[in-house]
Amino acid sequence: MSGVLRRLATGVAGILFSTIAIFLLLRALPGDVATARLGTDATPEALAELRREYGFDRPLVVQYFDWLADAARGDLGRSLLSGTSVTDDVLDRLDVTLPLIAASTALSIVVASAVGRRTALQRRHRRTVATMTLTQLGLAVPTFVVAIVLIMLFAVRLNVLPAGGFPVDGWSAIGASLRSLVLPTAALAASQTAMLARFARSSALDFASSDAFRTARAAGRSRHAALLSGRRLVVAPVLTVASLQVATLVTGAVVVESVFALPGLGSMLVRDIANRDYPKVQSVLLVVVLMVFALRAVVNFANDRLDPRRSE
Amino acid sequence: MKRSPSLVAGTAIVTCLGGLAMLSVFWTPYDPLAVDSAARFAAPTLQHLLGTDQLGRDVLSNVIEGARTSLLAAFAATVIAITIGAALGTASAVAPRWLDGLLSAVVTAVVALPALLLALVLAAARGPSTSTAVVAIGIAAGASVAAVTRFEAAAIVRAPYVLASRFSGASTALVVRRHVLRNLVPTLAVQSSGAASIAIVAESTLSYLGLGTPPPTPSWGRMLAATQQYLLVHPLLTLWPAVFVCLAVLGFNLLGDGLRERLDPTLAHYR
Repeated sequence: MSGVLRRLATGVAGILFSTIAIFLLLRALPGDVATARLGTDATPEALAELRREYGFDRPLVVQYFDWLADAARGDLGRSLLSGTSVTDDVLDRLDVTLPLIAASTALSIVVASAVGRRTALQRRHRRTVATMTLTQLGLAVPTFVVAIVLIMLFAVRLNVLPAGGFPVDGWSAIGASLRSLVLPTAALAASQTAMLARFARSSALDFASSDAFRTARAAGRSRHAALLSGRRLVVAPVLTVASLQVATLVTGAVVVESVFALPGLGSMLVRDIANRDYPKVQSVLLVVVLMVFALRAVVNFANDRLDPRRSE
Repeated sequence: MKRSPSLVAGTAIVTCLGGLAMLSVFWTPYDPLAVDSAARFAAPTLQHLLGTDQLGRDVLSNVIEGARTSLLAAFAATVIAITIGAALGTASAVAPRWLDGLLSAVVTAVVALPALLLALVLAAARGPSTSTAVVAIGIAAGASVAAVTRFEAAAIVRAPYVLASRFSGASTALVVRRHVLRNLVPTLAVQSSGAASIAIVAESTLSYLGLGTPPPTPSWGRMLAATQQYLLVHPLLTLWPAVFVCLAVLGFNLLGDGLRERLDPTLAHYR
């Protein structure tokens, strides 16, 4: 139980630290937000008006705590450009981003564990060498390049899946929605899978040289069945690495959404950064950080269920 | 000692790309920015080995110049990462407990924000530029270097020979200089190749998104973004920068793996 509490405390501390970092980077470092919005030739009155409207004229500390308090109540402020509620924009876009991230996480863990088990049993097999070379290459290909290659193969050459975009009606056209998420999910999961597969393999190899494995073999189980009997122990380290990689996956989503022109949180973030919509960027980044910590908590929870010794 | 194929391949790739980047300082086949509207989308020929792009610029020259952009960014980010990482990690190892705890908390929090996200924030705050991207990548990679370094440095500080040197009157500064930093060199070498490969991915991704190296400096990421719309008709244009990005990352990954195998022979078990 104390393990859970400690993790909760580190999580909260991490989130708080991230909010301070985001706030300071966006508010203290750059020039004036109002000038960035209205341009250098704006009248002082207009600038003062905008500052008052968005509360930029108050002390930084007050702004920071107001931002946090509002966010805690679910109010993420308003966009500097369109004036729309950031909370609404974010909720709208999570429809795409959450399924994308969840599917990629699950896909990469499942595929990597299977690859790890298989390649651990056939140490010197040609297929193992080929698979491990493939994972090494998979690690080297940046996500956006994977995405471009997938578009080229499946959308342009074979024309079986859409090259990008998402149905305007959202999830009410469920078939089309799912189809438009297939390539983005694969692209996002690719390098993650390659990395996790390498850990899964070494973890499976560790188990294959353990007493538990030898005992299972002595009891007459096949090598495959013996390895399967230790699947919890084999998957646990993979989940640990996956939980550390969550942040990379979430930024990968930013990239993938941009390449596939998906109306997700990430593509919105990139556009808002280009538009210098600081208040919105700040709140969207907060959501991204929260997502990172939430997803990590989910993976850690699953890991605790697999290996109860961890939470003691 | 057995030759490690990863080390050989990694060194070869990194040396070749480094050579290309050096070459670009003195010579490229053509001016990478010279526009020749009569020769747009030219197929590879003896004059233009990799053909020309949508504006009639020589692709090979751009790829070579891109190597310089990419490797310079990677080098600068790695120097920042290793400096931060070694300093924080060593400080953590010799500092009093409370300071160690504080430093570790900060490091953990920064590790939670990956390089790319930090770079996005900085790009948002300061406008897109190579140096902004480099600083962000350096800080983010530095945090993970610090996490590893702290672990190693703590082990060194507790080693019997270091205790012996302490008992014979060596100051903390001397211990850090003579024992900790010197023994960290192999670890830091492995970490540098990791940081370099992260930096190359991050720089090209940021440039691809339009938040990294601004035009007109040739960069692999921006070449990919600019040629993507001609994918259907001229797939080779997109292929070249993609191949070079992957090659560079692969080179640094293999180099890191090779160095790690050299340092820790037990890893051969997992091959």
